Amino acid sequence: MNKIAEVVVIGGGVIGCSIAYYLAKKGVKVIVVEKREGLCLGASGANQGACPVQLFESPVLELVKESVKLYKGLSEAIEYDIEYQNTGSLLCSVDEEQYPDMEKHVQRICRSGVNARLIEGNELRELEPTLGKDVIVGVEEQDSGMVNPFKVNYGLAHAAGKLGAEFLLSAEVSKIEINKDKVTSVVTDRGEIKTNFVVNAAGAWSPAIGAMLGLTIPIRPRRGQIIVTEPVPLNKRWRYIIDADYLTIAFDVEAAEKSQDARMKLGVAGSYVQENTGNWTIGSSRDFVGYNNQVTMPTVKYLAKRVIEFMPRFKDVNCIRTYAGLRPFCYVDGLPILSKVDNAAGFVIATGHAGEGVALAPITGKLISELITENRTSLPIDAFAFSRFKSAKTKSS
Amino acid sequence: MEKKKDIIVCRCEELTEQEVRDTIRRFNLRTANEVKRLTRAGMGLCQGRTCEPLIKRIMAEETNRKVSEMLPLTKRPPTRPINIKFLAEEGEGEVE
Amino acid sequence: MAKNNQMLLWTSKGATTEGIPTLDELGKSPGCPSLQELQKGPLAVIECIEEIPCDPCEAACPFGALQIGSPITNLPVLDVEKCNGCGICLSSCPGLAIFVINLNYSDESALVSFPFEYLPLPKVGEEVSATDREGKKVCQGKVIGILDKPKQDHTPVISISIPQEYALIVRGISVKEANSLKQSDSRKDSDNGSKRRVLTHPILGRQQPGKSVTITVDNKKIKAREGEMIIAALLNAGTRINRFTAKYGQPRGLFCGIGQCTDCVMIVDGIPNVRTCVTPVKEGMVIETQHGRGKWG
Repeated sequence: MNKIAEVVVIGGGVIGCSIAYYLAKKGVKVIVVEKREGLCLGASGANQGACPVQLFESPVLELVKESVKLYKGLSEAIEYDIEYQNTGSLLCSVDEEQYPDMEKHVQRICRSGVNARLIEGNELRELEPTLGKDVIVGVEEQDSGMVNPFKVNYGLAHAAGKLGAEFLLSAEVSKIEINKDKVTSVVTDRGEIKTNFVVNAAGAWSPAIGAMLGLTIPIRPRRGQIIVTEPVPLNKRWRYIIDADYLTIAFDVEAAEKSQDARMKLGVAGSYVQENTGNWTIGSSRDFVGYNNQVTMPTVKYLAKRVIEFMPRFKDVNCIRTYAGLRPFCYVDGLPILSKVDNAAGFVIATGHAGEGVALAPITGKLISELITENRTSLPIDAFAFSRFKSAKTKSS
Repeated sequence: MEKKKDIIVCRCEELTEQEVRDTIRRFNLRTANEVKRLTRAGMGLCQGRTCEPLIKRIMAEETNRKVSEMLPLTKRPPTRPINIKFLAEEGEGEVE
Repeated sequence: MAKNNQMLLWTSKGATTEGIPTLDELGKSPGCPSLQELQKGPLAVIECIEEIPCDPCEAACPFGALQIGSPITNLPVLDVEKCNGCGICLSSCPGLAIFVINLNYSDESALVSFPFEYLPLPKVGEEVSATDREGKKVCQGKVIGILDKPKQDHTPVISISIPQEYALIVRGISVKEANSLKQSDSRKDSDNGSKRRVLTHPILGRQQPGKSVTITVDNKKIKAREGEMIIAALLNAGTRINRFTAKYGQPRGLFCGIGQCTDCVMIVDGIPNVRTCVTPVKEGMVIETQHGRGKWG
């Protein structure tokens, strides 16, 4: 069955569906192509639903701030409750030697206009009795939030559908046809779609799509594992608590590789999110194992050990499930890739949101829709251009 | 039947059959994993032990397929709830 | 030699379609003796036709008449020379698929022995309705014997006499309405003013409640027996509600009883979400009704 669209979005995760929504809002005919039987089954269905603001620096920080603003009004806009909550976040440390780094951190983010303050251990424990005596200092920040990532994904898809977008499931892309350096159609195992624009929002699987045009998209799947606990009483003040080591481990790939510490080698740094129901998702970890999303005992062990250091009560809390997902990580600089490409007019890349996909979903959708329809974006995205990779080559038609 | 609306299919998350059917129809769902993500059926304390067969049957009815044609909920460790302190104590294993 | 009545047969859609094996499927199974072999004396009939990893019957037979060997998924093979119809293997089959047929129990009757795991058990001499593999009543029978030794691990074996022509069809009796536990599982002594106490459990087995202990439930002291599950002590004390749900505040109590459904969870010694149906009592235990998520101890 052959179709025609103005834009084909490859990938039915939060990014793909957000792009579809914002394009459909502008009256563009979009078809989203997803290789699995349903939406939200990649990293979009295996995260913690968190939108941390204090973890980011320029150039991502500007996008995150804007994205959080979009989240605030999204439930109303799409007429579906995505359960956005302004929970704030607490970055804290159990290592005395990290104290100066924490001071630098709060200074840096305050300078960027983020609402944050440093809190000493004793005051932390008074405000939040769950925190243990090993917690020395923390940085509380008010703008972070959390959402229900599944509802975001489906809510955006459903709203896009109401505005005319189509969703083709169980449809794997095998080829992208080009004529004179211009995209002309997408071939899937459920038929061909004639189109002028193709958006590569395939997350961890985006390199395979890029390869169809001879492009080397420098993305590797970075596995993250999570422990889910039984429901427990809600924390008094902070339901989003982050380990200070997160800043090193998540953003400095070499630190993890060079370290002798077993926990650092597995990329484990605490990231604790408590849902409304009382369940905690205990993360987070990082390793590069290809497309393997299995849960492994050594990582689970260090996730468990680490959470007990921050919140000792968790010793007696039950783990009822574990899961793992694959983040699309750009191994050159860890930043997302949001841009057109030279030599393949109509091909747009929107991926690389490793650990920030849910946070950046709304703004990515908006910016890519602007890029496609107006060829200019309301926020600068030059830092995320594909052309920054010198080794990028395109196949001449 | 009025009463049908109040039949609870997921006891842990207190979900009625109607809520599950409504979600399946609204979003055109085809897999049990999606139903789980959107309704929380199977995310409660019993992790789907009670509701999974019911969810699959409802899904089969709504999408006109046989239960045997559908993928089950993804199974993950642990096989039963385990205290975090035991996960933390586990013997020094090799990184896989 | 008894009168050779014409044996009644049955039809079915087969094991994988209907759950009831056809005459052919049974005929092909090496665990089922032929009609001629049955004429010679009582024999075990192993109506096992699916290759699954299961072999307790092989170990149960003291005469080596049942062979499974390797792989464990083999169908059991009955050696009719070695089998004397003693019936020891009946209680060993988890699928309740083994029977003993004595075609020539008398001129008119055959004796069918089958495993029976319902309560109440019938009485010897009782007239019963005999049922086929589907549970449908097909004829009348009389209970000749009931064996329920500890070694049988709660799988009693009932032997009934039935008209000979039904010997290939009858495989059970109709289950009567079970009266309350009081009839078969009561104890004369009563704690907390109640005679009701759970004494057998499908997974945990026979309960041997030990000495008296005291536990506190919602600030009220109740008597329990060491070794029994918390829920058993609660039932004995007349408590049916264990918790109230988080969303709608509805009461929940014992549901599955095997540690799966989590309806029975309560706060035990300060720890919430404890499954009381699989957690034994201890002296001095403090148990509270859990409201929603409970509270930290």
